[in-house]
Amino acid sequence: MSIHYRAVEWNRVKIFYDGLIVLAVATYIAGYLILEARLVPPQDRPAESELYVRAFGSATFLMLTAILSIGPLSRLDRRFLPLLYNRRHFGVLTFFVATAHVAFAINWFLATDALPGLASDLTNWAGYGEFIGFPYEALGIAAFVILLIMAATSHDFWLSFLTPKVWKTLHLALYAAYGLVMMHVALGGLQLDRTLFLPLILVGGFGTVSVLHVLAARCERAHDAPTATGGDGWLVVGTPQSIPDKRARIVVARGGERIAVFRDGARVGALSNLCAHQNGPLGEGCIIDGYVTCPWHGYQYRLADGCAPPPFRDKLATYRLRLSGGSVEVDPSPLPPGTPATIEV
Amino acid sequence: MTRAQRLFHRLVWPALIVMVTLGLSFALALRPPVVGPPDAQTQTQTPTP
Repeated sequence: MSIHYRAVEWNRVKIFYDGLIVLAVATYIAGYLILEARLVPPQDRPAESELYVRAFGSATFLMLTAILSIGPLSRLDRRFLPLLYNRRHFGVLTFFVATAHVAFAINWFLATDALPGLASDLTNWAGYGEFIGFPYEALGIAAFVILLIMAATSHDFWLSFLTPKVWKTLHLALYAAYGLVMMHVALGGLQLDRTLFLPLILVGGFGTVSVLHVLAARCERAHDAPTATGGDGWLVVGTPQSIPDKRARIVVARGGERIAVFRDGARVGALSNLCAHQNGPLGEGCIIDGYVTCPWHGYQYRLADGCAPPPFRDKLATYRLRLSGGSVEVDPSPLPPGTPATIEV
Repeated sequence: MTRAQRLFHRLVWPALIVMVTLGLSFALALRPPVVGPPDAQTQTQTPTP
């Protein structure tokens, strides 16, 4: 991780992707507003606010669907990895679009003098016991709070402060936000809207994300089988040539812990498969300029001892290796992070 | 991802799929009927004092 922080980390690639995403979102919202205003011209201020609520709300849902699809797509096909690299900025932009949706919704309540009614709906506890009639605004507010927390803690400072494990766990709340948004629309807009648009984007969006996650999980399951062990519990990796040069073979210790065994020419080293940045799958990366490089965000480590190059200070756990009967074997017990442990083969 | 995060992913998706599918199906099935404006004939037949 960096030793100092910048407000927004931009480089040429990130600027390109961010520009593309902003353009796509702006095109969708402008297209929605123009098309619906032509089909059903708003007659008054509340109808105008409602139009904006729907445009920004549907954009938020589609953006969340896209964000949740990036993870499984990257697991299934490495060509989607650049999207993963830019996912955080996409997430923050989603929060801003959701904020616009909330602002226009408040504007609608003000224009129809319904703000006091909203407060009484939210505190009508009997409504929470019903299905149709559930205060769907509460679901939207809960989803918005989750998006706010995620956007506020998206910066690397929070990643470092909270530790990658806690940060990543906190950001898994996005799944809860997605479910809340689904039900917010199903019990709100869908109850009044009789067009096919809402059912189509809800079923299509959720169906796509679900299928991608199930496929990615099936793919992951194939890597779960524990690796064969020798008599003394060391994991058998295979011959040195079976490890592709500048790449890794991932072995699985009993209990499911994954170890990435890299080969750099005649040198073999084993590191934890978890990148110190965001717990990315280090073993799916490769060695670039002599450093093991994470495929998610390009964080680098020395193969020799698992230390990030100066001035960075991250360290990974390393593992003892040996060559036994022409086969590389790895001790499943990790060494303290930063301990040199490579062997010549 | 850590083992716990992998396990979470494997548990959360089936649960989310079941809950959202049920919720969405019920929300669609239980939608209130559309109440249209009363037509002109009904209006003219309304008895007046």
